[in-house]
Amino acid sequence: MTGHRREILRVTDLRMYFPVRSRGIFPRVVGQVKAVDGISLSLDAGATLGLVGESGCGKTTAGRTILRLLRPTSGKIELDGQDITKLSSSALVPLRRKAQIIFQDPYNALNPRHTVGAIIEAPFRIQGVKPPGGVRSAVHDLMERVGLNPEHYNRYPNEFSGGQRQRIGIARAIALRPELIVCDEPVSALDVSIQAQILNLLRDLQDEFGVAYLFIAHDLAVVRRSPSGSRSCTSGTSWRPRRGRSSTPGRSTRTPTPCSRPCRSQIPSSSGSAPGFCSRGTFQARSTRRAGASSALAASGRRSAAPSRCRCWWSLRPATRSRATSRAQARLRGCDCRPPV
Amino acid sequence: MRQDVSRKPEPYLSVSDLVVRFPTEDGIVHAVEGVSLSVARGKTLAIVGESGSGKSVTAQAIMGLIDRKAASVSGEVWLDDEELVAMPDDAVRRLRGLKMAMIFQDPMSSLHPFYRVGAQLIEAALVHQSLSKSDARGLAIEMLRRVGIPGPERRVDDYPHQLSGGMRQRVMIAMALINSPALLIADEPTTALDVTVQAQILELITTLQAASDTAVILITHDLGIVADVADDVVVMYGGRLVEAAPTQRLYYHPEMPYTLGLLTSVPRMDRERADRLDPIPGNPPSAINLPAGCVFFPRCTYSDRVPDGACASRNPDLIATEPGHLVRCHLPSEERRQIANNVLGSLVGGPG
Amino acid sequence: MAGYIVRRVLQMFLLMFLLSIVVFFLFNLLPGDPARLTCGKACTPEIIEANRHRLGLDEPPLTQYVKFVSAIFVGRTFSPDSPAPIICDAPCLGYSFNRHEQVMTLITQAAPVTFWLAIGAFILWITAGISLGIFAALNHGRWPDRLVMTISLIGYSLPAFFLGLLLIFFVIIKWQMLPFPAYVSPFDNPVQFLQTMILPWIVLATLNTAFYMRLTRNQVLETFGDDYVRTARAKGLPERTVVVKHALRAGLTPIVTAAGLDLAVLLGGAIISENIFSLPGLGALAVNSVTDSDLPLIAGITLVTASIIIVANLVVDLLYAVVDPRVRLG
Repeated sequence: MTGHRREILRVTDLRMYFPVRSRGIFPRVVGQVKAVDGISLSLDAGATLGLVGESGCGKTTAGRTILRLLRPTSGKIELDGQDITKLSSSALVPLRRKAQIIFQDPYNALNPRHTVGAIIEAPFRIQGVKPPGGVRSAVHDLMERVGLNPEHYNRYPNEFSGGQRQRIGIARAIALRPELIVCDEPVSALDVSIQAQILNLLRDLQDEFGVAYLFIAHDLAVVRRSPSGSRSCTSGTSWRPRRGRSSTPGRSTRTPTPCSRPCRSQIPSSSGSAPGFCSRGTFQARSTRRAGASSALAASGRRSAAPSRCRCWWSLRPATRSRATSRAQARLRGCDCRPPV
Repeated sequence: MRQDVSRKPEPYLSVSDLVVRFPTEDGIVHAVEGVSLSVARGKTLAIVGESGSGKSVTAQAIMGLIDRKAASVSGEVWLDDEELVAMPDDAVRRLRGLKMAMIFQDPMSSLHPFYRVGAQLIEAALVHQSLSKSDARGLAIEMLRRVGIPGPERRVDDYPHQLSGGMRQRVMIAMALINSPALLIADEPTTALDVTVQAQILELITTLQAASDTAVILITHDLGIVADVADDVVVMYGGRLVEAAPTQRLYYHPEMPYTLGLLTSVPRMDRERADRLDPIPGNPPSAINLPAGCVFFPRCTYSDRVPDGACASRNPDLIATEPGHLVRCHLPSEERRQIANNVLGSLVGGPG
Repeated sequence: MAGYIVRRVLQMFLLMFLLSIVVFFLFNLLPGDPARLTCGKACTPEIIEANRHRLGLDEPPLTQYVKFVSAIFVGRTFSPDSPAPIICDAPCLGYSFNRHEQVMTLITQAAPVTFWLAIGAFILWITAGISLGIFAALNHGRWPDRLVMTISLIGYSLPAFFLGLLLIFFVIIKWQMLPFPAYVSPFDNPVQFLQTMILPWIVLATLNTAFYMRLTRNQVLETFGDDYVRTARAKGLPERTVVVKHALRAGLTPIVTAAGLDLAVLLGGAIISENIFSLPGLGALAVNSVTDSDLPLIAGITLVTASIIIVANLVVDLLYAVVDPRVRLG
């Protein structure tokens, strides 16, 4: 079992004070607003750390300071072993590839004058990254990955709903496959049913890319629901998801294993054939098992001995994806393999 | 059309078949399509729905805040013994703030930033009561005290930006209740507030309600607070009322798939963390081109259990499955209950 | 707040100091000979030299500047050693040799005319602009709104001199509704005062009404959508109160700012209107001083006008805090 326990973020005694100036003729600093007063935390690669508190407790400020959007008053921030506390803004630019942020308010986080395509393209342009196949196709892939229609490339943010705008923000954040994403209350401005979709999306992305989350929220239940543990999914191999608990970060098994867990909501079709089988992010490339075996599987939740090939949905080439979709249409609907549209 | 069984005295507010439509360049927006509800004094009705469901527009239509030049409003709204839809604007205005009052979601932007809090309260009082300036000020201070603001004599001269979010919402409540209205409509009063403050505000509303026997309509998308506070719940989707029931019944025996979806979407502390949430796929509908059939059909995962494809072609009627429990769905009653049991069974207690 | 005011006043003095340097430089140290300009046609080199000495122009620049500035506080005596010294009382902005008058006297004679012109036009354009703006906002999208905006566009586009001449031609000459303008103080002859001023007021107001109408309309439309307006309606307030006390009040800041600065500029003299209507105000004085090359007078007027604008800027900034209590200056 290979495990790589790598610390992606370490914060030591971080303090962020804002000066309060007096109102005299010559303003002096008379006090401090101690927005963040000595916090320390450590986050391993691929794991999630929740940062919970009421509004005004400084969690948003902490998140932004950690990403060096603000200059901390004192303390130390280490990103993947590198001390970034006192770096100049030009030195920080290459680090933006490694650490990104998803903002709370989807209505204000996107520039209303830029098209969606331009917004998601920006990371590539700014960092000078040229993906194979071109930037545009990379953006298309990203849009599909987060559940947006790539044909909406040229639309403006105000034509989208709140949940969709948040997806745009997520696409922008994961564009360059960062290793750390600070999620600043990503779902609190959204409707309940959309919250669930976005949380699932974040979880899928973590499974697929092994990104670490610093998850800021004020709702404990949401934090509990936030993606945790780490998984990786490489193209061509399937993986066995860990059962329930907070996994030790970085650990994943990479043995070719058949899919093990049934879809959450099973669609019984009129012919009574077996419900679809996929675990998170994987998709069954073959047709159904026998009914008997499937229900036994459903009951036990263990992997079956029957050889089926589960592949990470997003590791398939786009052409294969669409073929696979049309074949298993009924089974996929309601199955959490496919991102909601 | 009122199908509720009166277990209690006459409802104070009774809405029948309310329809609100806005003509726009892109088409007619069907904000509210045939909503009927009622609430009695001393009781709380919750209207639950997501954005675009029409719940806020319903509330504003009841209050008469919809501009008749921009929208068409039809139906009947009976407040005590007066009908409001047919009433001229000026007469409705006189009732606003006096017999019915409303508080809104974001207390920061709902209070005028340039006027002191006391001045805004006094203004609210002087519209409907003839009081001297000093009496009005005394009343304002008293209301601030009643809503639990410490040091009201000093706070009354503060500006809204000098108060915290929770306190501003208390001021809004004070402003709404200063004329002792019999109906209070609270449009997402806690959404913009912290979790801890939410509880305080809700408790305040229920306390004041008990003291004055006020009828309360609580509009929200948060199912957590509904369970605590409401006597009856009404679920709206796409401008239509899709389910109505007493609270307990709705939570334990929901029948409409949308309600079920809402209940399962909520992250809960008592569920396994690793379980994926069950979101309702898709997005809320656009109110402009309403489908001919059930408005929830595009997102409903159970529509294939309905024979003849009725979901796509016919809008289901609102039927009472039990006394006091109305559902708008084509699924046969038995099917609905079975689905609910399956889904909720895996929710409550099971390891998934 | 008090600290802010003190700081700003100090800044203001600093600015005025810099202003005085600039004005001095422009008018006393330019190439070209100020002494030459003092005497007109019958100039002999002896007279020029004599004038140069009288004006103190043969002294080093720093001394000249010091005398220039100190004159504002304590007055100045030109050519003290000649048999006919000219005494300039404090505050002395200079002495106009063309007109044989102290600059300050000329300014104080002309200032009230400009003051009445500016104030009258200001009141006219503010009331018309704001009420038409509210009217347009309330009828947003319908024909009254479009009509009002079209009229405002026409008013915007008419140059002041064109409108002025048009009015003179029709109202005074053709229809003889009013006599030719002849300025008198309003305390001496109110009727003639009003008859004189009404047309220039209309000319000045037309242009600005258009601007304020548009601005008010936009501000009211913007604040109409705000939540506190909805709260005001929910309280049961009559619509008129909602529009004026709540919506307009909230959008007042840019209107106040623009109004303050516009008034300040106008107080410095409305050159074209004063010329057309023969009003002896600061604008006319300024124009005449330029055509006469009367340097001390030009310098004096420049100093006064620029100071008005500097003070107006401070006043407008302070008004911010009055209008919007959220603004905490400093």
